[in-house]
Amino acid sequence: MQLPLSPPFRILDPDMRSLPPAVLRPALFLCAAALALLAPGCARQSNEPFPVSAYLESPDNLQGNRYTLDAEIDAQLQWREGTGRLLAVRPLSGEPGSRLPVFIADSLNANLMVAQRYRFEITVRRGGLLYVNSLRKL
Amino acid sequence: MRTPRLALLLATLAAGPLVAQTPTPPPAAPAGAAGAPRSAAESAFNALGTANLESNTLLQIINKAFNTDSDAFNPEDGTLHYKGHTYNLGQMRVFRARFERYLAQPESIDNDVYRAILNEIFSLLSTRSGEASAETTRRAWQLLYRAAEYEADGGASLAVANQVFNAWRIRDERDAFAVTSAELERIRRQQQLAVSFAGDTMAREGVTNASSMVTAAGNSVTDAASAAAPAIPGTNQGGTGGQNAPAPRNNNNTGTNPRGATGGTGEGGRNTGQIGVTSTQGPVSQMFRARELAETEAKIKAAESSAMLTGVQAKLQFQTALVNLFLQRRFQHTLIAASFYRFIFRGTAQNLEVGKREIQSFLPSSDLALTVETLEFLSREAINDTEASMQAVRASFADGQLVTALERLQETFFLGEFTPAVAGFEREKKQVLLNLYRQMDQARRLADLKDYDAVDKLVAEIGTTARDFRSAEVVSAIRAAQRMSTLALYAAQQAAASGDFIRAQEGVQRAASLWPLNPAIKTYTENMANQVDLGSQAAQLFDDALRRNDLRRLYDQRSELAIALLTDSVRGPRLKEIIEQLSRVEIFLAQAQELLAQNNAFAAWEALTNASAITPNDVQVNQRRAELAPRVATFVGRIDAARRHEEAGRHAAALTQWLAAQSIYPASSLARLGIERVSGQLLDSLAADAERVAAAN
Repeated sequence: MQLPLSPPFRILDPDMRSLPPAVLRPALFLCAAALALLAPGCARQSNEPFPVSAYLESPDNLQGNRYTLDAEIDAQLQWREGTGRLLAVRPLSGEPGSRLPVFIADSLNANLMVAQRYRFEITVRRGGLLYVNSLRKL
Repeated sequence: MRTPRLALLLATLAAGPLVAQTPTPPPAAPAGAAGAPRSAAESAFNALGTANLESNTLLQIINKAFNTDSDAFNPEDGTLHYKGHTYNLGQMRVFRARFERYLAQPESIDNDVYRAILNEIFSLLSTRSGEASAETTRRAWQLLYRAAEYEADGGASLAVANQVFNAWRIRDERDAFAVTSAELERIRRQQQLAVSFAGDTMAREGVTNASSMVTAAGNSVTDAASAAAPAIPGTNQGGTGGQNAPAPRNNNNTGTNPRGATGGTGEGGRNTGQIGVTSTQGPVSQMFRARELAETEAKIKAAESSAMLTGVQAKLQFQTALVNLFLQRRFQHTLIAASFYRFIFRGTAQNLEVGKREIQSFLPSSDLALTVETLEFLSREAINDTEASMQAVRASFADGQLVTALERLQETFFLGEFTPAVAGFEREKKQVLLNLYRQMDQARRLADLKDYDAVDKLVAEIGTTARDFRSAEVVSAIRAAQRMSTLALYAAQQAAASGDFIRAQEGVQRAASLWPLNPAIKTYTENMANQVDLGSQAAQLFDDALRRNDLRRLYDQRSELAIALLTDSVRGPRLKEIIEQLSRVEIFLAQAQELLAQNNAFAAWEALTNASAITPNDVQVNQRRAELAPRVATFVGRIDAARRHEEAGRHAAALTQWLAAQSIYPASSLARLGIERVSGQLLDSLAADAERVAAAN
């Protein structure tokens, strides 16, 4: 489920022009900006969304790319101390029911649990490995 | 003590009349000699830990009919052992034939008459009444010729009669000799008187050298007597020679009996033509008279010695006949002949001079005087033994103990073959025993041939006839031998199955030696022959199918091929592997079918995939997989992609596909295993990369 993190300009929809008076508009704008900045759990998507279907069809074509993947942790497949862990995650968007393997290095010091949702900044490495560069809990 | 003594009597009798018994060394092992062909079987039994399973019991039981005393009597080699000595009984085959002939022989209707004649002879010769005379003896002698006409007599009575006649003839000759001797003695006395008278006369007339002439005449008489004396073998020279001393007698008569000279002259004149006595009174005449006297005395000596020789010869001949009759087991005729002997010869001639050694062996003590009465005693004892034994035979027969009856009858027959008690045994009983005898003999022969089936049937038949026949022991021995043969054959089959044909051959030989007619041996050999043919065909089929990788065909014909290739050390094990592979495939096929019935197509697919991993070219598996493929296409596509990526070393992509496949069918074991496998490989790869980076920094 995608969080309602629409940019502020969406509020300035032409259909809404008649609602606040003109005097209050700057104040409302500032408040909205402040809320937007202070709202907990808010995140920013720096990369393109991960194309799940394209990856499933041909992972080699995505090698070297960086993506943002919002997903829910399904299972930890394996972990090797000092190296990292392999997780199976369910993308929050794209093909429903599909699962993707991602690698999270131990160096990220992440505490992960099944069913948690994260935004993963990933790189498609050699062989189609989805290497997690950073992650942020959603 | 009757039986051993009786057995010894049998042994000696069988040795033949007046033939020196030569004890042969006892065989090293009579049972061993009989068991020599069984040595292989016994060793086989010993190897199997069950010794003595050969049919010894059967043979012993069967031979019991011929073995009255197993310690002493060995019917196999026809010997009898007694107190360390072995006596040869002659040809047992001949004896058995005689016994069988006796059993088969019908009782003669003349036997009663014959026995009556013998009883009358006994009565006439009996000394009980004390009225035995020459007339009764003669009548008894005449009856012998009548008895000899019967078949049961076998000519024994005629032999006795001839011997008696011979003795009488010799006695008559002795009487004739006695008359001759008396006449010669009378002439000798006359001649002595004549010589004495002439000598005395010449001495009185002073004839020169008369004394020397008389002495010369006396010496010539002595020389003539001495010349005649050596013709008398064994003659007592003391008695006879004492009478032949004419010189002193002549000297005693010299000049003392002138009357006798006159008488002598007269008598000499009468007998001149007969004895050549002359009436000449001169020295020359005297010399001739003395010479005639010497000749007469020589004739007397010759007659006496001839008579004595004839008497001794008659006694020896009669004793020889007596011993012969005894040794021929003609005990009744021995008694008759002994009675005649007693009447013919005087009491001092009763000692036996012939056959002493043979008769001595029947007696417990060796210092007893052997007389004709000894023969009578032994003959009566043998007859009594025979009669007692025949009573035992009848009693056993009446109790239904036919084997015992047969034993006793054979023992009795061997001793008293010519006695009335044996000859008078009832015909119908003999027939029953003859049948038993033949059955047991046949069983023994079949046992020798190890035809156990036939022996089994025969023993059962004998058991119904003879209550005392130990058929259970025989059957037990037969079963044991049969079982051991079958076990040896099983061992051979196992050895053949393992390719050890040498042991297999040994096993078959052992089985055949234990029971040559074992039907399983025939089956085994036929199977082996068929197996050779099948083996060559099966090898061709196996090679063709294997070349085409058609394991399914090999599996379908696994039963035939398994038997045919049993001894094939190369194809056999390979066939076993194939059968095991296809068996697992069959399990997966059955599992897939069941899963499809449960509408679990993915699980069925996985089962077929496992089967295909075992036999990739199996038509049946591939066909089922092809039928199922449309229903699980997506799943199969993911798995296929996962495998391709995995094979290409793209572990991450492979893991993605495995996960995708697992998402389709979460229970997939293929996907689970693939995930585990690829995850490990992926982490290995990442760890290696990290190490390389660390090493580079």
